Parts: sequence; C-alpha cells; structure tokens
Amino acid sequence: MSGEKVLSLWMFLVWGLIALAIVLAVFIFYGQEADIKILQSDILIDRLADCFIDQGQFVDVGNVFEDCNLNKEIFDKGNFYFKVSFLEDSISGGNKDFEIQCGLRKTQDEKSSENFARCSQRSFIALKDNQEINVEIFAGSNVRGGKF
Amino acid sequence: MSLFNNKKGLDLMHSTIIFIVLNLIFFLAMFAFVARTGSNVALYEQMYAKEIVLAIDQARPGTTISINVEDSRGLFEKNLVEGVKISNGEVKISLKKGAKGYSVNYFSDYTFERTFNEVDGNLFLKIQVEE
Repeated sequence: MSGEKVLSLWMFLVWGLIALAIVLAVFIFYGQEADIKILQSDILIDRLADCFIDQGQFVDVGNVFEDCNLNKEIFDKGNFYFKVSFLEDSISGGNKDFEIQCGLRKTQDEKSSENFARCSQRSFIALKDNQEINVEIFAGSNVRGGKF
Repeated sequence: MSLFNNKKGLDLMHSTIIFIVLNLIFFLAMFAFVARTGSNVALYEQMYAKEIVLAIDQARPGTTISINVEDSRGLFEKNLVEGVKISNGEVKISLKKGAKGYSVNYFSDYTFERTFNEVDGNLFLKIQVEE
C-alpha cells in the first residue's frame, strides 16, 4: 500500500459519497414530521366518552362544545371532526369530510393519503332510561402543525 | 528503526499519518454534523409543541402538567415564558429571537397558565389547567 494510492482521488471521492449519504440520511430522518393525528383523535374520543357517559349512565348533552369544553372555533377551522351516534340519533361537529378521507385512507397507500385526516372509532355501552344502548364515537384529526 | 533510516519507509509513514489524520477529521466532522442536526432548535420546537398539545388535550381542570425542558435550556434565546404561548387553540413555541417558531392546534377549551421553575438543577415547564 503506497502513499500515492492511499491519498488518491478515489479516497476523496469515497469520502464525498459517504458524506453525501450521511447528510441525506440525516435530513430525511429529521425532516419527518411527528404525526400526532391518530393520538389526537383517540384523545378526542376519550374526552367525548367522558362527557357523554357518566358512571355508565348516558348523559343528554345539549351543547357539545360548551358541555364537553371543546373549542368550537378550532373545529370550525376544519382540523378536527367528531360524530357521536346513539339509538337513532347522532351529534357531530367539525370537518365532515374526514369521514370520506378516512374511508379513502383504507383503500389507498400511505404515501398518497399522507395529507388525509386520521380517524379513530370506538363503541361504548351506556344506560339510558335503564336500557343498555350502544354509543358509537368517531373522531378525526388532521393537525399537522408548522412554522408560524 | 530501519523504517526511519529508509527514505521510502519515511514517506510511507508520513502518508499513513496524513491518511489517519484526514480520516479522523472527516469522521469527527460527520459526527459533529449529525449531533448538531439532532439537537437543533426547530426539532425541539416541534417536539415541545406536539408534546404540550397532546398533554393539554387530555388534561382536566386542576391538572398540573410538568415537562422537563433541561435538554434545550441552552437553546432558549428568548425569555422562557415569552417563548411558549398557549392560547386560542394554538400552542406556539419559539425559542430563538427573531426566528419563526412552530405552532400546533389543540381542541380543548380550558384555560392554561404556564410557568417555569427549576427543581434539582432541572428546568421544568409547568402548565396549570383551569376551568
């Protein structure tokens, strides 16, 4: 192994390639946004379930936003959606389009649906007039966050 | 010792030393780059904003949320309380003076009071949830 061979142009080229690979990998890794949409939709379901069901009893909620302490302005902006279904009735608020977006998400790949909302759905059993009823809660979030 | 008496051997040793030094410089530079990128302000702003949003969305009145921000203490250029804003459904984190920050929406309609305090040398952001 002679000195000329060690410090050749090839060596610098290899360093350049290694540097390029590291820089690209680092930018791709740190450039990814932490996705909290699904966590927020799960939390929204918990908040609504706590509001609509108190110790197993179904609560007739008049104004969801006021009674459940949800910010109506933020829901009107279109970043969140919820739908609480019980018996033949349902109460919803926010961006209705999320039901379609979350339906489409199931049929499309992750890359093409990355701008769609993420949704969660859970059902609960509650007592209403001593009758067991099924309470379905669907919630979605499309919060991305960004520079301001 | 014959290596030092031999001109060819001396050249070989010099080039080997240069090779090792250059390699060290290269890998140290790469290490510094990765470490610096991993601890940049924008990353902390996004991390804190989202962490706070998730915490306050599920918090009930009377709750105190405590977040250890010691890791990023050196990055805070702004007054700490000024750098963290929680109001009107939006958490805004801006650690550097004159630079843009990061904001995320939350859906909870409670009021949030934030303070900073130091416990055992660690800096904590405390958020009090009020009705």
